[in-house]
Amino acid sequence: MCRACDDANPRRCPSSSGPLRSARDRSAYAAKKAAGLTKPRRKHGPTAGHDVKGGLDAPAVKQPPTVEELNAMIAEVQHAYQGSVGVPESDPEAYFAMIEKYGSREGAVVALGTAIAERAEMHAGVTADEVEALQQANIERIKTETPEMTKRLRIDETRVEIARNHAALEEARRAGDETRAAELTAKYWELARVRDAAWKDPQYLELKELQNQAQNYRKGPVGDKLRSLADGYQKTLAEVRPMGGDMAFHERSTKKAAASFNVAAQFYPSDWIDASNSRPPAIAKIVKSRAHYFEGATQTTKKRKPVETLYFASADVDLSEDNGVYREYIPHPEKDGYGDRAWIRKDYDVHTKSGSWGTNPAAAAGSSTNPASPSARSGAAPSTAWRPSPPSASPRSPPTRTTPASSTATPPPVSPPTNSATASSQPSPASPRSNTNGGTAAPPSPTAPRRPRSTSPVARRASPAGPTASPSPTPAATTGAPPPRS
Amino acid sequence: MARPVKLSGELISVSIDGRGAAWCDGIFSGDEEIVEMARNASIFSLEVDVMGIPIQADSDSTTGALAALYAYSPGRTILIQAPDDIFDILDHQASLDEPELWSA
Repeated sequence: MCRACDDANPRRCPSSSGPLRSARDRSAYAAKKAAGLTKPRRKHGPTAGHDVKGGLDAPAVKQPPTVEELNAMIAEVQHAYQGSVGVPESDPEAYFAMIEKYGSREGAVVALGTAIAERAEMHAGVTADEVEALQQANIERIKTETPEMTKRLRIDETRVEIARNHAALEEARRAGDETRAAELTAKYWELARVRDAAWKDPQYLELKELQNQAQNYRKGPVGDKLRSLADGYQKTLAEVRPMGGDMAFHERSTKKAAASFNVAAQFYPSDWIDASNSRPPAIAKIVKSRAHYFEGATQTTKKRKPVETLYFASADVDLSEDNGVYREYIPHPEKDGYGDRAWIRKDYDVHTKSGSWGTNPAAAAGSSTNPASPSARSGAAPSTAWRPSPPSASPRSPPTRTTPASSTATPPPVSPPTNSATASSQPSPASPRSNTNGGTAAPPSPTAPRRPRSTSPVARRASPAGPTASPSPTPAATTGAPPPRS
Repeated sequence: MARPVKLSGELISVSIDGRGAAWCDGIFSGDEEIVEMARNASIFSLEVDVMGIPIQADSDSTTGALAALYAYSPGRTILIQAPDDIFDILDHQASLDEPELWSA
């Protein structure tokens, strides 16, 4: 009801005024006319040609367009469309011819889409109209049969009776009337049997299943037909334009997300995917919050580096004796002065997690004799100066992993001549504090800490002369040891 | 005594995917979704890109009503009927966009 009629002083409803009513009628008629003017008319396909009785305007029965016809139509519309948007060396006459043929620029595109739809429906073996009619029939059946079924099985009445029974039972229990409560309990079970029998009724279950299918378009016959239609459209589009491809994602993308996106990417034109791949790789993630995308965003990866500190020591002190998995001293002759030697100390961040990045690569080289180590997999260049320890590695070697220089983008550490890399092949006067790195091939002493100093000096001193002193033929490439600079 | 309403009688009709909608003297009619969107656009004065021209939607002027009818799907809207000045505006804009095409 119009609000103006409810006022204390009722007046004439403005919507009933003649000019407004006239305007409403005019606009309604114009809208109806506009809808009829541009409604796409089928010329081909299974649903066409029903007007076999004839008539001057009866469309001829025609097969769906072939691929050649589609390509010709696409070329024609594309050429004419370029003329409409002012592409250089375009043909305006083609544009006017298209307007004359299809009515408008948009009408040409609609006609092209209709032709593609007809071919897609031919591939699918079903038309969109048939799927819509089937879905509508299901909905009508649900609307008709649900009230009858509810009435026949007494679903609503049973529900109400159970609620009343429950209320009466509560009241009887509060009143302490055990006899009445027992009667009501027995009645409840009787009603529950009726309710359960209704829920298990085959016709009721069938109707419920139909209802689920009507709400979820992916299930049932309607879902199957829609799937066929989607496949038909994809097949038709692939005939006139290459479709699909593999998206190139950033290396840190989640595999599941990338695989999921690649499924959807098969419905995109291949040139779109190629254009996307020519740009900085996007990162695919699975997030619980709102997803987002920035076009052309460059993904940066932060890689931690060892902390470097400059140290000075007397010339007769060799700080490299303290090398280990935690730190490494590298001579820095450019800074030498006043009789002191300059060293650069690199502090590595050692993580307990296996496979973490941060240990001294030279110190942990012994633990990387495992051929499955990353450097072994990456095939690091073999070093002639470094000789690996025998494969009799200690089972108690630290669970650290060498991060190869190539993967961390940091230069390989400079190993002083006295470090363990050379100690195994060049026996030097043993020092109790000499080289803590590289000796993981020998078993650790009982006094040695579990981690990170993996070997004891005794074991290292013994290694050149012992049975394990012979250089192993294992190339450095399989051990992942970086080549020493010095 | 209420004043008689003066109406101009101008009419705009559009078609979107075979669905029609029209405006006449402040009244939108036609497809429910398009009309609802047009009414909302005119209420909130939405700025709509009509074939390259940003126009503020309203329900009182022809240009505003045109923008309101375009608000539902600007790229798929086909203008069927409109006053001549509307077509003049759109042709002028098209000639600015593509002078080579329209100068001939």
